[in-house]
Amino acid sequence: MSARADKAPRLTVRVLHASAPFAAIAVLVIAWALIKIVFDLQDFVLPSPWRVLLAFLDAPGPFLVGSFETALSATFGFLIAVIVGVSLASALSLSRLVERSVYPLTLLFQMVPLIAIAPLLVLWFGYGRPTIVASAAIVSVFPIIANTLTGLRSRDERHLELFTILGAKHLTVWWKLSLPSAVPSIVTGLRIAAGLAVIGTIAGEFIAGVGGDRAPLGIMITTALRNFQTDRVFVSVLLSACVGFTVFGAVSLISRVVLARWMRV
Amino acid sequence: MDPQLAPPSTSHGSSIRLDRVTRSFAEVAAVAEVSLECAEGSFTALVGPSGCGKTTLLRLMGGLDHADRGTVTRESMRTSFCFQEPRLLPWRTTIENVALPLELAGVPRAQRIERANDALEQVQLSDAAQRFPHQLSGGMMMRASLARALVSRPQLLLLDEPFAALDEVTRYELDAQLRALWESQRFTAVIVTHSIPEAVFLAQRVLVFTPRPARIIAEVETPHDQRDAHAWTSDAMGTCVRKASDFLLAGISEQRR
Repeated sequence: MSARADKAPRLTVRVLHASAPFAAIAVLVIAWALIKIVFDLQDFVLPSPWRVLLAFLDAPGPFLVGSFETALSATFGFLIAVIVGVSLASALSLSRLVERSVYPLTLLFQMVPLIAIAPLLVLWFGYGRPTIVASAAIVSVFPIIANTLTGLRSRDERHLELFTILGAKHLTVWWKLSLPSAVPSIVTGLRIAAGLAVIGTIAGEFIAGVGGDRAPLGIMITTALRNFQTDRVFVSVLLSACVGFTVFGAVSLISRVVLARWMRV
Repeated sequence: MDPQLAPPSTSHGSSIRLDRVTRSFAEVAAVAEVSLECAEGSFTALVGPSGCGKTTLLRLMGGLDHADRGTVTRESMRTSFCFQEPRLLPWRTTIENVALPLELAGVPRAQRIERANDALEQVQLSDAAQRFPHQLSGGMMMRASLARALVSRPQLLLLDEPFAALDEVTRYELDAQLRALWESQRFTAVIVTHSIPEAVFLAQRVLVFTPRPARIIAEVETPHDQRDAHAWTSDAMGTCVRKASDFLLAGISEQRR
C-alpha cells in the first residue's frame, strides 16, 4: 500500500478524534432545544440555548469579570491546598507515629460537609475572598494529601536498598527517592484537586460572596435565581464549568511541561 | 581526603572474610557455617543451584543483611553492589543515575559529572548519557548499572547475577568488558552466577556451593592467565567448566540422597 493511502485513514481518524467533543456538545445543545420545544417549557424553567447565548452577548462584561474573580479565588485556594497538602503529607510520611495520629484527623476533617463549617469560616474570615479561598482550599486539599501520601509510600523497595547500600540518610532518601517516586501520584491528586477547587470556590461564593461590580459567578447565580433570570443562571453555570475546565487544563499542561521526565515513567 | 575523591590506585588494600557465617529465614537455613576469604584484587565466582543461598551470602558480604551466627569482616572502605536488575531511577537520565553514588556522598556537581562520564566511557555507554532508562535496551541498562557501581571507584565490587536476564551475545560482550575493567582496575570482585562458563571466564577461582543451605563443596582454580579472544572455547576453560560442573552435580546428588 502506498504512503499516501496510509495517511488518508490516519488523517480521517485524527479529524474524527478532534471533532468528537464538539459533536457531543452539539448533540447536547440540540437535545436541550428539542426538550424546550417538545415540552413547551417556559423560559424561567428552561431557556433556549439561543436565549442563553443572547443573555451573555447582551452584557458579557460582568460575566467575564465574574469568571475572572472565581478563577482567581479558585487558583489561590488551589495553591494553598497544594502547599498545605504536600507539606502535611510529607510530614506524615516521615514518621509512622505522626501519620497514625494525624491522618485520621485529616480524614475526619474531609468528612465534615463544607456547608456545616461555612458559618465558622465567615466568622473567622468575614465575607469576601478570604472565606471563598479557604472554602476552595478545604475542599481540594484532601485528594492532594491522600495522593501525596500514597505516592510517598509507593517507592520501590529495590531502589530503597540501593540508597541504603549507598549510605543515604533518612531525609536524603525522602528527598531524592520518595518524593520523586511520588510525583506521578501527586500530579493525579493535583488534577482532581483543580476541579474540586472550582466547586469549593462556587460553594464559598454562595455563602460568603459579595455582590457589586466584581461579583463572582457564585453571586451572579444566586442573584439571577432570585430575579427568575434563568438564562443568566445558565450563563453563569456554563462559565463556572469553563473556569473549572481552564484550571484543570492549566494544571494538566503545567504538569506535562514541568514534569516531563515523570510522564514517561 | 574524601574517600570518594581519592584517585584510583592499581593496588587496593581490600579484602573480605567470612568466618562460620550462618543465616536462616523463618528457621530455614539459607547459609550454613560458610567460611571464605577473598584476597585484595582477586576475582571470585560463587556458583550453585537455584535458591541455594548464594545471593544471601553476597548480601551478607555487602552489609545488606546480617548473619545469625559468625562474622563478616570487610576491610574495604568502598563497596559497590551490582544487582540482578539495573535499578535505575526512571526519572533520571543515564548520567544522573551513574552519578548518584557521588551525589549522595556530597561530591561537587562538576566532579561527579566528569567521573560519571569516565564511568560511562569505561562501559562504552557515553552516547546514551542523556537518555532516560526507558530509552535504553536491557544491555545498556546493565551497562549503566555497572558504571554506577564503578563510579565510586570501589575497592570491593559485589555482583549478583548482573547479566542473567540478557541475551547470550550481550552477555558475552558485557562479561568481556567486566573482565577487562577488573584487569585494569584490580578491585576485589565477587560475582554470583548460575552460569559455570561465565564464572570460569570471569573469575580466578570458582566456589561451588551445595543446594540450600549453602555450603562450599569445592574450590576450582581457573586458567585466568590464559584468557584471550577465544577463551570461551579453549581447552583449559572447558576442562575447568567440566570440573566445576561435576562438583555441582555431585553436590546436588548427595543432597537428594
